[in-house]
Amino acid sequence: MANLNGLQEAIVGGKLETAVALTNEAIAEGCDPQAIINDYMIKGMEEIGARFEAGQAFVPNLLMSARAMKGALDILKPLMRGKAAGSAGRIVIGTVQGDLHDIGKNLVASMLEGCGFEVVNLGVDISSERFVEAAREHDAQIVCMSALLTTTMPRMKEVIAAINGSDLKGKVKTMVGGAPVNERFAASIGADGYSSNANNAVAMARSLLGIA
Amino acid sequence: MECREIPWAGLELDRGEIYRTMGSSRYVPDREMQARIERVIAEAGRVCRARFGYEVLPAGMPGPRAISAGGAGLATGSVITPCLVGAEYYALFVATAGVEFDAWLHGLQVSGDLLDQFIADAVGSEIAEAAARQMAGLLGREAAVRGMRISNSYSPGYCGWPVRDQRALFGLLPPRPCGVELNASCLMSPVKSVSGVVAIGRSVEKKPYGCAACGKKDCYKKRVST
Ligand code: B12
Repeated sequence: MANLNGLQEAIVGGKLETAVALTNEAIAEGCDPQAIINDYMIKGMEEIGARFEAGQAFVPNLLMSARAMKGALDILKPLMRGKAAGSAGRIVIGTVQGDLHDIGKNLVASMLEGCGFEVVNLGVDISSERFVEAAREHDAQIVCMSALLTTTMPRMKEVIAAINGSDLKGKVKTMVGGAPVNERFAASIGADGYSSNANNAVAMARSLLGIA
Repeated sequence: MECREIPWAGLELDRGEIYRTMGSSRYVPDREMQARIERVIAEAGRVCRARFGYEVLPAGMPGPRAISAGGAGLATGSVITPCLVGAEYYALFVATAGVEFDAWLHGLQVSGDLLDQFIADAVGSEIAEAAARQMAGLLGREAAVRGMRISNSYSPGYCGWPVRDQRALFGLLPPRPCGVELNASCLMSPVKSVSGVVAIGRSVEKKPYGCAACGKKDCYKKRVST
């Protein structure tokens, strides 16, 4: 019998090699990929997320878990082609124009990926036009923006305006974050969601897409 | 302005600060993670050329919320300005982990593991801070020779001093000081750079950071309880 509880623990503990090995074993034994993901792996991510919220785990722990999750997902994904349930949603993420701060956005991208979203990471210094083009090209459901300084933060408003001025209006949700951003600012520019950290970003993305 | 390069061995990186940037003040990495952090630090040491430079200008204080350095105004705000009282000179500085470090960090972002990237990012932040501490150390010694003291260092973007004043501050420094460039959004490149002001004078006091009065509740640098 495949050690699926062990897989869940490997995700919580951020053990990439163990997670990959146990996933391979489970497939060899004919376990259903979707069940492995939903009943064990996502549970593992939820567990580490809960520990983070409770102050018992830190960003590096989240990162290790997301890594283990992604490693296991990469094995399972090819086996699930064509099944809609394989992806929680499509997200385009980037740091706004004039800003080069990368790491916070990358953490958010990694957590979203770890939790089953398809993420297109555009990088830094991304113009409104590129956000819109990428959202259209990848048929994104959410556009995520990051900024480091109060001087680059207003760019988020421009991106939202560009989205609303395009054919994507009403079809794409927006989420913002980064050190100087807060809930109030997010609301003031008409963003659909804000989160102060990568863990909560996942919950926010899920709620925007109406996923429990 | 003389741009000084800091030998790697002289940087004095504070591990506690690195852990804090990676997690929180309560984050203590386990042994495995500590070893990983040390490995990243060692790799950074092979490429990094941290630098700092400052320009010393005659000081003025036109009001309780602003200073003037060499005749140019800086809107330091009501929290920072009182901490600069007694200044005869201001040192306006940049300190940076350097373009070499930034290039290396960028390389990790393209090719590397996100965890190493995350650690390297926190290490880079501490390198920039450590370079600023080296700057303050040298400035303090030079001031002491003249019977003067220095204040703590203060940066645009903190405690009510708008980031936009980076433009005025950089206007008082030579072009691209220590290789640091300011873009239209007032972001410095290399990213791992800090800028600011230090007061110098016979009656300058090193006041504790005035966080209690600032009102930014979620500021990580907040030192109210200490
Ligand atoms: C480390 C640090 C530095 C480092 C490195 C900076 C860098 N970009 O690499 C150094 C020391 C070099 C530095 C310099 C400066 N800094 Co600084 N810095 C910080 C600090 C302490 C942590 C930032 C960080 O790296 N956090 C770790 C990463 C992982 O977190 P993060 O990027 O915030 O991302 C997380 C969340 O924000 C969120 N998130 C991020 N993006 C997104 C996107 C979405 C969609 C969602 C949902 C969530 C989300 O999830 C992420 C993961 O949990 C913050 C204060 C703070 N507590 O945030 C100040 C801070 C960002 N700095 C600030 C300032 C002002 C500066 C300087 C201008 C100071 C100066 N004059 O020198 C310079 C500017 C540098 C530049 N290049 O121009 C201000 C900015 C506020 C403002 N006024 O604009 C802050 C907020 C501090 C403050 N005053 O309160 N800084």
